[in-house]
Amino acid sequence: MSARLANISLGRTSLGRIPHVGSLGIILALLILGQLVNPSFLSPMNLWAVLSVSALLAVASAGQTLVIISGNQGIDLSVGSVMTLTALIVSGMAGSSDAAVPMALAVVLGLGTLIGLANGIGARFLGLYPLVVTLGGSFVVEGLGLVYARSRPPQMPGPMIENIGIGRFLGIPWLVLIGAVVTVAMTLLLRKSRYGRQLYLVGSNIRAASAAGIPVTRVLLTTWAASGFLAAFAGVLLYGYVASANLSVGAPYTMMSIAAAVIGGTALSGGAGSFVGTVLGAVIFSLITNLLIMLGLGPALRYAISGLVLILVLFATSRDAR
Amino acid sequence: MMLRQIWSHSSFPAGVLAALALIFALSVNPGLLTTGSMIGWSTSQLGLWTAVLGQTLALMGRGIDLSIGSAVSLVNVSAIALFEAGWPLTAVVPATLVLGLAIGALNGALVGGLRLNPLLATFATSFVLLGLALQIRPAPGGMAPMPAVMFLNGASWGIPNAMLLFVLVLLLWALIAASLFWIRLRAVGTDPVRAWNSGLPVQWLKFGSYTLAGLFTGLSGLFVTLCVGAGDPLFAQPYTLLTIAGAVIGGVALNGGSGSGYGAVLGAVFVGLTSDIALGIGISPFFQQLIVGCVLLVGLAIVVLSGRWLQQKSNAALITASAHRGERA
Repeated sequence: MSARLANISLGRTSLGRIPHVGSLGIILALLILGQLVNPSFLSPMNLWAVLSVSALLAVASAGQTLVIISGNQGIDLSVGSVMTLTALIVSGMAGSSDAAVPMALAVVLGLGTLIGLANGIGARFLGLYPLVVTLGGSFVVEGLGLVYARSRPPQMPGPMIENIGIGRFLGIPWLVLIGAVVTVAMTLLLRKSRYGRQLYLVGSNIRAASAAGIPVTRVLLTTWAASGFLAAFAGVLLYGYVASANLSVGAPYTMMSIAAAVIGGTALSGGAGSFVGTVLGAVIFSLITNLLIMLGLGPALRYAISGLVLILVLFATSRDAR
Repeated sequence: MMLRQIWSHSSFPAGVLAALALIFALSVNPGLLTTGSMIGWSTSQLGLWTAVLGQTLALMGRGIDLSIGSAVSLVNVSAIALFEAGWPLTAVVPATLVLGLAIGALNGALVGGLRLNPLLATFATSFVLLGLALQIRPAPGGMAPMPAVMFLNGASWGIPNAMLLFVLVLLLWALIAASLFWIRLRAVGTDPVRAWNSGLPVQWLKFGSYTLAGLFTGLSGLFVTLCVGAGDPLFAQPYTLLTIAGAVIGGVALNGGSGSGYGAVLGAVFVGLTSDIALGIGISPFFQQLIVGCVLLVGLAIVVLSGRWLQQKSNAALITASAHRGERA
């Protein structure tokens, strides 16, 4: 898909063979445009800020990427609500001290994995569309958040979580470092591991994969569980980044994670895509948001414009065949 | 034979679920049958019942509409904005319907015209519409004209006016369901390729289904405005999930081509009753969404699994019948 994008923009030149050249071109254009709009756009401070937000979005989109690659209409609409729930629980359990953070992390990561697994069971065994299961699941997860938030008022994060969210290590924001580690791990998982190869096969043709002896059910359930786990992890990062938790803190991430994966060239039909593409998609999305903020647009109009961007991306990459 | 026809009808499970929920709701709260409670119940549900018909139209042509919640919200806040700008009711009503049709036509153009994946296209428009709604009215507020609100929250001959209005909506639906367009749309939903091969204008039919769905979205937004009497950009957000759940529980197939609007309405009645029951038996409102979500998922699972079981049974019956006739299964 990204290859097709590249061909559209550059013709069949040798440039078209560089991976992700389309995304990189868009990023370059956005950087130039941003500098024209505001001379401080390319300042180190703003660039690190954009990269931090991109890293957070990339981690939130990691599970989404896996689920979309797994094909068979796979899409996870519960990412945002899982992130909200994790932020609320970490805030409630750990409070503003560091002592209970490991415990809270264990609980939310386990809970996220369970939610993902439940989504996977609904999609695989009940024959419900992933879309419907995860939409219903997100309703339930939001309900859980509501119940939990009532019993414990959310607090400011402790120094450890806050440091991960906005602190730096050797001048580089922790979020960017974590994003880099997740990128390497995800790329190794997709390209080098047995699971990764099986995932692409299941995504491109589930019957052929099954006939070839691939444990399809195990691959799919692993994918869904990983999606829940990664969304929960992203929720912890989000809590550190915004330094507060409320009932809608994660909501926009459902749409943004799909947008990042699709912009990055993950095929909605499954079986194709890479995590580096998703990371670049996240950078594009964050650059656009940053640009819109600099232009002085409020959150409501930014919402509307990111929807329009998603429509444009869909138009460019994934029109259905007649 | 007759009995069998009834119980294998696509809306049968929804009818049973809705009836059970109604009996349960009545046993929990016998006061529900008074005109006052009926008015409260039907006005709070009217918007959902109308919106589920729009979702049914989208689903029938193998589409889906994830923007219904945002679209109803946008119509709601726009109507209040128009009221505040001094427009009379007679001008606001057609304006909301035109807005609904325009939103539907936008979705239809993306899905039918540009051939985008319906799921993602309407998901993207939902953000555009919600953003616009939040831009128009960031927080709940505003006022609809009192006489209209009083009318919708009133009753004629002991029957809530909201129910009488919904009968008119159902009449409109009956017209659509009896039309050639509906038959063609079902053909598209059953198998788009065959429909195209037999000369149907597949993309135009999809465009038409979303545009008509927009009409019901507009109506739903109007009803919400007049029932609530105010504008709220987030009030109708759950409609997206509730209409899909209602339609699917009501026997509308997610991959298009089968089901009926009446089944979908029954499904929506069931969906709406679950939250009423949760409130009726004294569950804290904080738990309401959790419980409604769980009941919806269980209802969906029951409908899908029972549908599959019936399908297997009828397949087995076909095989037995052909074996009796001496054919190879």
